Amino acid sequence: MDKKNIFSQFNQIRNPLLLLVGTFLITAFATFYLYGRIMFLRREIKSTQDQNKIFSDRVSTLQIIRPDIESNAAKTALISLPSQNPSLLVISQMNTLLDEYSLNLTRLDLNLLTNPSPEETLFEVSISFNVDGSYQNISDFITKLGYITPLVNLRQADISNTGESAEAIIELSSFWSPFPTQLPPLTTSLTGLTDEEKEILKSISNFINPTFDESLSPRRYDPRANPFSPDDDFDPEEAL
Amino acid sequence: MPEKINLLPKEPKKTKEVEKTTRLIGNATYFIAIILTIIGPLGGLTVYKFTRDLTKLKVENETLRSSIANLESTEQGLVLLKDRVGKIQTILGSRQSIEIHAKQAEIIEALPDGLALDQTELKSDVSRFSLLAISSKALAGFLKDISSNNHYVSLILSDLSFNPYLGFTFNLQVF
Repeated sequence: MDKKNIFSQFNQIRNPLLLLVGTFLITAFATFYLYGRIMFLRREIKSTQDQNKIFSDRVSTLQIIRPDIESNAAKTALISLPSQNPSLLVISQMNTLLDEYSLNLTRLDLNLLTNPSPEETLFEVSISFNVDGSYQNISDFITKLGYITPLVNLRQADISNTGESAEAIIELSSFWSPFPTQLPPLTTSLTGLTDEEKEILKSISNFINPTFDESLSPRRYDPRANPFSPDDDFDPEEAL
Repeated sequence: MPEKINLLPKEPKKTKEVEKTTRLIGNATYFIAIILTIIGPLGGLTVYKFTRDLTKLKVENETLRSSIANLESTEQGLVLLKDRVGKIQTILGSRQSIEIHAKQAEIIEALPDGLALDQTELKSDVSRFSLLAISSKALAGFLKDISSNNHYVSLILSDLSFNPYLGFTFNLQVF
């Protein structure tokens, strides 16, 4: 077979061959494009479904937990461990109990204790004091301290009984911790309160709260006027 | 009569191999075209369906995001409450002294006649108190009662001494 003949034969199959190549290329392009698009959409659907599942769980958790968050036990938890030094609240509570048990406060010292470790956010203040009264009343007073908020821990209690009266040297510690400043990312799942946490809330729900507490509602802060600035409207005669 | 002259180039005659190859290429082209006819609409439909599903999911996603935004105050409350409860648990776990004081108070309140409290000392997780007993009989009765009580993990009696004016003095440690 000579060269001319081969060329002539190729010319005869050229058009069908071009059609085949064209069809093949279009099919391959369409297949790859559609496959890529379908895979991309499947990934998007999967990731959106997963995200929706997390969001849906989060919404139902929040809806279920809402009554617990608004309960008195939750408020007690906030008072039990405030965000600022609770010495004043504890002293107020102690004062109420001292009156209730007819005890005399003869000494009171406050001492700020360092927090246990840098990563811990639980701060501690020591409140030490002396009281005198009857042994029974002192004992009941100490027992009752276990049921007040802010929470206190009894570090030391030495009672000397002298027959009709008794004197006690008591040291308490109270705690505070700054509030968390960040919410968890939306894409992480959110868990409600565990049974153990509910149990703790239940156990502190009957504790005695102070008559005043730390308000959590946002407040508008009006800067105080400078008392040393000359006041143009001030009329000394009118003031007199 | 004029002679007919064909000026068009004469198509070369197809050989059997060329015909066979042409048929083969034609069949392959048909086959690929059929595949394209199937894949094209099927793929298109799938893309359409998936796009529609994704749009629905995105709408649902937006609705859920908006619900979460509306519940943000509850979420803040939950995060705060979990933080507080976790720390309260730590504090309550370290409050053995108050429980020990309760045990100590229970013993002292139940002191029988002939026994009196001198002083008590409570520190960390140890409670120590000293008692006075006017007679050995009163002391023996008290020790019998207290040792038969399963409420205490451990009781340590120490520094037992006798004074003819006061009677017996002793220290008791409760755990």
